[in-house]
Amino acid sequence: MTRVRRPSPQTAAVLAALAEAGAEWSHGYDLCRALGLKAGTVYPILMRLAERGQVETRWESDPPRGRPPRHLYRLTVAGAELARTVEAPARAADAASAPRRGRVVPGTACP
Amino acid sequence: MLSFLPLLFLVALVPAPLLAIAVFVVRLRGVVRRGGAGGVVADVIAGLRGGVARPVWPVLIAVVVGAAALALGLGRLYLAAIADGSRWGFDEVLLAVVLGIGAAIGWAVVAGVFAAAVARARGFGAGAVAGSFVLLAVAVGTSSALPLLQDLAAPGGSPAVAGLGERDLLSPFEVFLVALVWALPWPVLGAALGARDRASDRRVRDVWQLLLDLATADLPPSRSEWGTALRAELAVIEQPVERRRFALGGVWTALRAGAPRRVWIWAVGVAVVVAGGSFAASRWSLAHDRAGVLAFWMAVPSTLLFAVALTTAWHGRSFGSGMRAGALAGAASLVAVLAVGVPEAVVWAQARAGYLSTGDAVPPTWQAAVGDVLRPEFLVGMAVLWAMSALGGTALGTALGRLRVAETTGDPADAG
Repeated sequence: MTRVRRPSPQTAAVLAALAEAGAEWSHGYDLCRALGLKAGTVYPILMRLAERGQVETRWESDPPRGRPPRHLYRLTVAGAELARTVEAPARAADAASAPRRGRVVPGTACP
Repeated sequence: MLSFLPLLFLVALVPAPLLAIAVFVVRLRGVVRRGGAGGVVADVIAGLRGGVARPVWPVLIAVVVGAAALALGLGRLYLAAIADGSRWGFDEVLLAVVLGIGAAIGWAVVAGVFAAAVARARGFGAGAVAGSFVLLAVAVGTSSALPLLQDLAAPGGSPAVAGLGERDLLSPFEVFLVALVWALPWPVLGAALGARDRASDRRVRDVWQLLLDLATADLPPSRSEWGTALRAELAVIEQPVERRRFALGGVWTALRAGAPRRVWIWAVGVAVVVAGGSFAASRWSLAHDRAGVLAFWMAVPSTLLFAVALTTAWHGRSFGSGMRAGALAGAASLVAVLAVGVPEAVVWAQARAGYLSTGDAVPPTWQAAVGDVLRPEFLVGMAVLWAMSALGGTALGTALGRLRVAETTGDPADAG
């Protein structure tokens, strides 16, 4: 039987936020803001999840004039499964020790 | 030691100047083909103008003042430290000489990064000029502090030091100025790197964008998409505080994400070779009544780091990858040197009553023998030579890797 390493609280938070967004695409900066995590934490997690096939990525297709297209993220089927696996024990854990978690509004324009 | 000198010369001193000359010739040939002799004159004028125009010249003035203040401050500390003779059991003057050479490497990196930043905004010529002026500013600032330091050392002239072959007490500062010559190719190489990634249609909005641009500009191909993603996200952030936070996080991500997994394998491999080689060199020298292994520690890890940095940078076509691999392999080499050096020093002290490093002195105790391996002037000296070799290998590997892509794609822009 393969033993799966339990994700870190930060990874679990990113998974939960992406799971909450469902089929909608999320932006990296919005994830940072919603979770209260730094880009130096969120992006390495996104990279790792993407490498493992748990997050899929694409580029914004029609960015506003003068602005480069943004990178978008959402969970794959495997990622959603992992998020469900992680979510159950996390609910039982002490809520106070978990990172601040908020709803990521897909496609929200940043300030 | 003499037998290792050609090797050290080849890996630590030759690659960067040769590469800078090659880059310069290729650039010059391109300008001549496009615009003839008139084009060269116009490019030189544009380079000189762009290389000193605001905000470069205020930075250069700050560098002159900063270098003078640094030389004066460090000089006072140094003179105070050596005033009562050796107190720490090692040669403080020799350590200062080695640190001076290390400082020249540091300024080479600063000049290269500055050249890359200016080249991104204003082109190769302006970047090369700006970076070269940084080195000139450092030399001017440091030189201006020397008369004051001479007065502090001994009014009327600095006394000679027997340990340095009757050289002047302020030799570390003079050696630093000479070592700055080694830094000269790096503005050209930095400018070539920055100009290659030049985004002509994007203006630089603030220092945070510039920082993130530089950190993510040279990621390996497998990571470059993430660099673009970070830059695109920063473009939509308006609040200065948020921009700073995001950019610093992005820089950290780029530093962490740029290291391919195989660098750990390289580091372990280098450590094993250095450890095995050190042990063999120690026992061979002991058996054949030769000098110690200091020359081996200077030259062989330097060559290995040169090879690792070159291969990694060539494979990833990335300067950052080469430097990360070189730094990790360097740290592993240091661990290997100490792991083998400490027990071998005790063996030497018992078998020959001599130091493992040079073999020509007699340690009265095993503690002195071990202390000799840990002498900071030796360790820093090794690190300086290793850093020079890794930097040269990285620059050469990056250039060769991009040349390979340019030949494959037929796009000369890829060659940088």
